[in-house]
This record gives sequence, structure tokens and C-alpha cells, in this order.
Amino acid sequence: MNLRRLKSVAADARQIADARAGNLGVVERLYRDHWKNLCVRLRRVFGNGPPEPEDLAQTAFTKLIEYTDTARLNDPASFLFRIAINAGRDRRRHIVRANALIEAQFSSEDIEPVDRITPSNVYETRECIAVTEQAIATLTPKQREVLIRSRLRGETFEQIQDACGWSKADISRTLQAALGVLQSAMREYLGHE
Amino acid sequence: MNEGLTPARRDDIDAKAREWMSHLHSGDITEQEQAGFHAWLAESSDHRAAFRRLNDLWTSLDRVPHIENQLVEAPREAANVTRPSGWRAVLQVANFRVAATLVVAVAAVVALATSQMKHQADGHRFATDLGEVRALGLTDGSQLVLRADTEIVTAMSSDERAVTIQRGGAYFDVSKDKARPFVVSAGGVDVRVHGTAFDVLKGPSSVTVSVTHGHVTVSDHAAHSVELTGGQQLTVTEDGSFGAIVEFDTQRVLGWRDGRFSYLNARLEDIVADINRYRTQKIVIEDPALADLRITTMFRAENVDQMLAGIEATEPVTVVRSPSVIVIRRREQH
Repeated sequence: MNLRRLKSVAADARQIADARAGNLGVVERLYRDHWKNLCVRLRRVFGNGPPEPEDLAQTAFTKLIEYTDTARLNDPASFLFRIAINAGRDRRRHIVRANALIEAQFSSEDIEPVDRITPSNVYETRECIAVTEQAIATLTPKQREVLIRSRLRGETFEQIQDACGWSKADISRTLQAALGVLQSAMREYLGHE
Repeated sequence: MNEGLTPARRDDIDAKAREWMSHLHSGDITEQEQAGFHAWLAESSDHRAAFRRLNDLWTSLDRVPHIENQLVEAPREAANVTRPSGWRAVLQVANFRVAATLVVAVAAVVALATSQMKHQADGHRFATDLGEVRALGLTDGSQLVLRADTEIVTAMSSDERAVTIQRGGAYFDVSKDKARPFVVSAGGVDVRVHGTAFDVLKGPSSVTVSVTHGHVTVSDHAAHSVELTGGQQLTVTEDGSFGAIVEFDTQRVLGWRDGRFSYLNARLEDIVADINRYRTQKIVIEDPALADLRITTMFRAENVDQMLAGIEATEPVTVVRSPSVIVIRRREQH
């Protein structure tokens, strides 16, 4: 199955541009190195689907092939995970609507596309990610659950309510509190905000 | 951000940005509320800046290493963790206020990373509440599933990975690291491995080790040690006696992860201790002599009452219920 997927990805690549044939060798190496782990990570988020982890992983690799400068990719695992997660979230209508609302209000200079190959903003630097990681560890289990369900899985509050039994108002308060913890940690680290 | 903003005003704006972020992703936003969002952004460049920063932070979250391990509810391949659907019902029947704790997050990857960076055996404590089963991902790649009402202390150093079970038990899927043995200590018993999967339960008067694959060394502090391999189980009693090595049924012993309890010729006291991890209305064995009563039974977490009725029907016991406690006492002979 995996080989078939690779061939499918490769076929996509040829359709994208023959001129990028040299890039395919890099992608094949990345496929060998990252496909399995990417699917494991996605399965932890989405289970067996839908969306099916392998479909999302294939979307991520297809996206990767579109880039002509994959050699610049310094953290392919993180990049592939992001693309796949966003592909999963994009299958939820309310997420598409929320993203459209935000993008409509900000110029491209303000809001970077999430599929950039390099870190999009200061929060994605290694140092800030470490700060965020530490701040997440201080969240209550409930705050982490709500944050991750909303951010990674793209679940609506109603879906979280069905799964966890908390009211939507409670979920909203919890999510805001979790974001407040992350904001405070980042403000303390960056100092100038 | 406008340098002229007071901290209080800045906090107010950040709080409002969080409110909008939450609302946008709730799935319930109306057209009128969308207009309100636009209007709020248009009010001030400070509002726009605050929301943009929050959005950047929100976006960056998928860059956090292993963030997916923070979710316990998702199906996990490593430890085959599933959340038993019946547990919530059990808690509701028992009038628990801790139902929310059933859905918990994987914790502490960062905390443990910090301890590893220091190369010191700093202890980190993790505990689960009644009815709470928690998956825990350690920075060395090992996966733990804590039983309900369990407390452990972890200490990672450059030469050893140590976990002490203060109470309860856990399933361990240990990543291979020949340079750093993984040692689980419980009630005077050490379980030493380099990479394998096993279950350790600290009961009222014994510690039981069940190995699913690989091999482990079980030892006491008197240097008595026994090797176990996959499919083997050993119980060490509180007086330090090592029981016989027996084969065990993985589905039976590890069924607790799915809310299933299965016992073959088990001590009543051990069964009651397991059940009590899920209840505020505790079950008490009134006559100590009944603790050693041998029981074979199988039940789901939500069917404890039926299980008790079964014991009452087949064993010389009476089950007396009150709002706060269930007492198992010896049946009076007439």
C-alpha cells in the first residue's frame, strides 16, 4: 500500500512539473525517512479517520513536491505534520470559514500562509516553540484537552461537548484560559510585548 | 503594539482577542457575530495587532514537538489505549463529581525533558484520580498508561530511567536504550528492563508484574531476582515471597485499559482494591478472613453491582449497601 502511495505521489509530482524531477529524489528520501512516523503521529490525532491518516500524509508529500527548494527544508517532519494537520482541519467547514474570516481581515503581510517552508513568525522559532512547549506542560489536563482538540483536530465545541461532557461555555472559558497561559509565557519570554 | 497602552488595557485587549479566537473556532459563530469581529478589529490597530499575535501563536502550536501525545483520547498504536465508554456511566451512577477527569491529556513531556537536560534525577510526580486513566509519553519515547487512582514518581538521569509506583499501577511500553536501564520500583520490588512492555500493579499486599513482550528482571532489595519473559507473570507478596511464575492471558490482565475486569482465582481483596480505583462509594471487606476468598469473575466497570450480586449468590458473603459505602461481610449461618 505504501509503495502504491509513493507511486501515486510520484505521479502527482510528474504532473506538477517535469522540471522538478531532481526534487523527486529528495522527496523519495524524505518519504523513506518520514512517511511511517508521520502516519503514526496523524493516527494519534485523527485515529483511523476520517480523515484517514494516510490520505493526509499523501497530501503533505504531494505539497512537498510542489516546492522547488526542498533542500532548504530544515525540519521536514514538522513541515509535513503541519501540512497534514491543516489538510485534516480543512475538511471541517467551520475551520475553513474561520480561516477565511481571519484572512479576509488581514493582508498577506500580516498573516503568513501556514504552508511556508520556513518558520512563518517569531513564535515558530526554536526558542519560542520551547517556551510554548513548557507553557503547555503547565496547563491543566482539561485545558490541554480542549486546546488540542480545537487546534489539532479542529473539533467544534459541540463535538468536544459530546466527547467530554463539558458545556460549550465551559469549553470556551477553558480554551481562552489555556491561550492566556500561553500568551503570558510568551510575553514573559519576549519581554517587549 | 502601542507603547502607550497600560498593562491593564493591554490585558483587556488580549483577553478580547482570546474571546474572538475561541468564538471563531467554536463552530457556532453567526453572521452578526462575524460582523462584530470585523468591527472590533476595525476599532483599533492595537486590536488588530493583538489578534494577529494570538493567531501566530495559535498557528505555531503544531510545531510543538509531539504535541499529538497530549491527547489521550485518540486511539494510540503504541500502547493500544482506548477509553472505555462505560466508565462515564459508572461515575454517574456513583454520583461522582470527577467525571470530567475521565478525559485527560498526556502530560509532562516537557517537564521530563527539563529533568533530562539537567542530567539529574529530579523527581516528577504524576497522579490519576478515581476513574481516571491517563496515557503518559516520556521523553525517552516510553509510553505509560496509568491506572485509576495511581501515583508515580519519575526520575530521568543520564544513566537510569526510574519510575516509582507509590500506589496503583501502570502499563509500560519502554523504548530501547541499552545505556539507560528503565527501573520500575513498587513496594520493595524493582523491575529492571532495557526495552519491553509490561504491567505492574501494586496491590494491597502484593506487587504483580505481567510481561507482554521482551524480558524483565524482577528483584527485591535482598538481591533476590527472577527473569520474566513475554507472557509470564509473577506476584511478590508484602513479606518478600516470590510466587511461582505463571503464564497469563494478556486480554484478561490488561483488560483494565478497556474498562474490562477479569479475574481467575484472584483474592477478593485484590479485586475490591481494583474496583475502588473507580468509585467514591468504596467497597469494604468487613471480615479480614474474607480478603483471601478466591474469586473467578469477569465484568465491565459499569457492572460492579451485578458482579457483587454474583459473589453474594455463590460465596458465603452478604453485601450491605449504604449511600457512602458497600460492606462485604460474612453471611450469618442460621
